[in-house]
Amino acid sequence: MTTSDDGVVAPSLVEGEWARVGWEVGRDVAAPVADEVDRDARVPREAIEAMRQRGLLSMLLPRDAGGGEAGVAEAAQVARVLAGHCASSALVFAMHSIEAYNLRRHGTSSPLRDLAREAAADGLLIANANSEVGVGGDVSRSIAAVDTTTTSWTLDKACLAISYAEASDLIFASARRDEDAAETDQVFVALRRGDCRLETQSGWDTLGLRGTCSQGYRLSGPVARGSVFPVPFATIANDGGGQVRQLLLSAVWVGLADAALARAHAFVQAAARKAVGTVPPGALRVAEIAERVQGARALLVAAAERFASLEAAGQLENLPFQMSLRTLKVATSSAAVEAATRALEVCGIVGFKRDSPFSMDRIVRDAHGGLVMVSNDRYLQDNARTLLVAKHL
Amino acid sequence: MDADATIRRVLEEHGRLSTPATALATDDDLYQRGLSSHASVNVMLALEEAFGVEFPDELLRKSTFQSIGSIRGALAGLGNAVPPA
Ligand SMILES: Cc1cc2nc3c(=O)[nH]c(=O)nc-3n(C[C@H](O)[C@H](O)[C@H](O)COP(=O)(O)OP(=O)(O)OC[C@H]3O[C@@H](n4cnc5c(N)ncnc54)[C@H](O)[C@@H]3O)c2cc1C
Repeated sequence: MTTSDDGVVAPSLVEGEWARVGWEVGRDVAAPVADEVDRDARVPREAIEAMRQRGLLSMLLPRDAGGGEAGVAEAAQVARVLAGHCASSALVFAMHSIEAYNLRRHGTSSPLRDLAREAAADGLLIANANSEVGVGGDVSRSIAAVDTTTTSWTLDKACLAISYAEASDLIFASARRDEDAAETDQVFVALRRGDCRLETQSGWDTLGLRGTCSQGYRLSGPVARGSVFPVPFATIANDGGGQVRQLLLSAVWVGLADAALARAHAFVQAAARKAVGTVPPGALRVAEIAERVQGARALLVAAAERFASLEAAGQLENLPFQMSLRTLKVATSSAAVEAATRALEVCGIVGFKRDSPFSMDRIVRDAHGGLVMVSNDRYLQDNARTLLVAKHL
Repeated sequence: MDADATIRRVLEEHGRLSTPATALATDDDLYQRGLSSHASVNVMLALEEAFGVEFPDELLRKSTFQSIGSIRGALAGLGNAVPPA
C-alpha cells in the first residue's frame, strides 16, 4: 500500500505501468499544488507538463504516430488514480484523452495522421468545444456552421464551455457542415488554438472543479480543409467517442469516491488505534460507504472490459451498451457525492476543516461537479426515451 | 399502401425533417435532412407499430435509419417489408 503526502491511499488498482505513472504524477506533482489550483481557479499546469513529460498525453495515440496506443481501460485507471490527488488534473487528462482517442480512431486522413504524429512528438494538449450556447449538453445538434463560402473556411461558435482552452494547443469542435446544413448534419474539426480567437463570454468561479477553467468562449478561427474529420460527427460520437467520454469521466468520479472512502477509512483506523478493543462508531458508516464505492468501481471495471471486447469486435455502436454507459455516469457521479458527504460525517470536525489531513473540502465540492457535467437528468431522460425501443436493458 | 409510402408517412409524421418526406430520394441521408437522435426513436417506434415488427438491438444503429432505402432493407431483413393491409 502506498500512502502519499496528501493522505490518499493508493487504490489496489495501481498496478500496471500506466496507472503507476498516473499515480506518481498525482502524488508528486498534482497533489502539492492542488489546493492552490483550487483556490486560484487556475489550470494545473505543473501536472499537465508532467503528463506531457511522462507520456500520458500521448498514451492513447496510435503507435505508428509515436503514441502509446494503450487501452481505454488503462487510461481510465490513470484518470481514476489522478482524481484522488487533484480532480481538475484528472479531468484535464480525461478530456484530452477523449480527443486523443477520437484522433486515433477517426482521424484516418493523411493530414490528421500527420496531426497525430505532431501531437505525440510535441505532447500537444487537446481541448474540446462541442457544447454550445443554445443546445447545452445535447451535442447531437449544432447551431454554428463551418463557413465554406470563401476560399479559406472559418468557424465562429458560441461555446458554452471549453475546459483549459487557453492552455491547449488544439481545440476539437463540432459544427454544422456548412451554412445550409441541418442542425444534425455535423462535422468535427481540429483547430489550432494559436490560430484562433478566444473571447471569454462567461467566467469560471465555481463550487468545484475550479482548475478545469471551463469558461464560455466565442471561438473563431480558420478551418483547414484537412482538419475536418473524414466521417460525420455523429459517427465519432456513436462509434467510440461518446463511449470513451462516459468511461473516462466516470473514472474521475470513481476516483473521487475512492478518495472519500480512503479518508474516512484512515480516520476510523486512527481512532481504533487510540482505543484498541472498541470499534469506532464511524467504522460501520465506512463499511456502508465501501458498499457504495465498491459498486461504482465494479461498474466501471465491467464497462471498461465490455468496451474492450466490443471495440475488438467492431461493435462499439450498440444501443444497450450506450445506455449502460449513461447509467454508469449517473451511478458513479452520485456515488462520489454520496461517499464524500458520508465520509465528511465520519471524519466530523476534522473533515470539515480545510487544513486537516482528513479535510473533505475539495472532494465534496469537486464531486458535485460530476452531477452537472452533463446533467444526470439529461442522461436519465435520454435512457427513458431509448428504452422504449431497446430490447434489452 | 406499399412499404415505401408507409416509411415516408412515418418520417413525415415523426422525423421532423427539413424536407417533406414525399420529396426525398430513396438514398437521401436522413441525418443530413435533420433527423435527430430524439426524433429517430419516435420513427423507430412508429415503424414497429406500422409494420408489426420489432427491430432487434443489432439493428438499432445509425446506419439502419440513414435513408428510406436502408430502413426498407432492414424491414425486408425482418421478413416483413410490406405493411399489413
Ligand atoms: C467541469 C465542466 C467542464 C466542462 N468542459 C467542457 C468542455 O471542455 N467542452 C464542452 O464542450 N463542454 C464542457 N462542459 C459543458 C458540459 O458538456 C455540458 O454542456 C454542461 O454541463 C451543461 O449540461 P446540460 O446541458 O446537461 O445541463 P444544464 O444546461 O446545466 O441544464 C440545467 C438543468 O436542466 C435539466 N435538464 C437539462 N436538459 C435536460 C434534459 N434533456 N432532460 C432532463 N433534464 C434536463 C437538468 O436538471 C440540468 O441540471 C463542461 C461542464 C463542466 C461542469
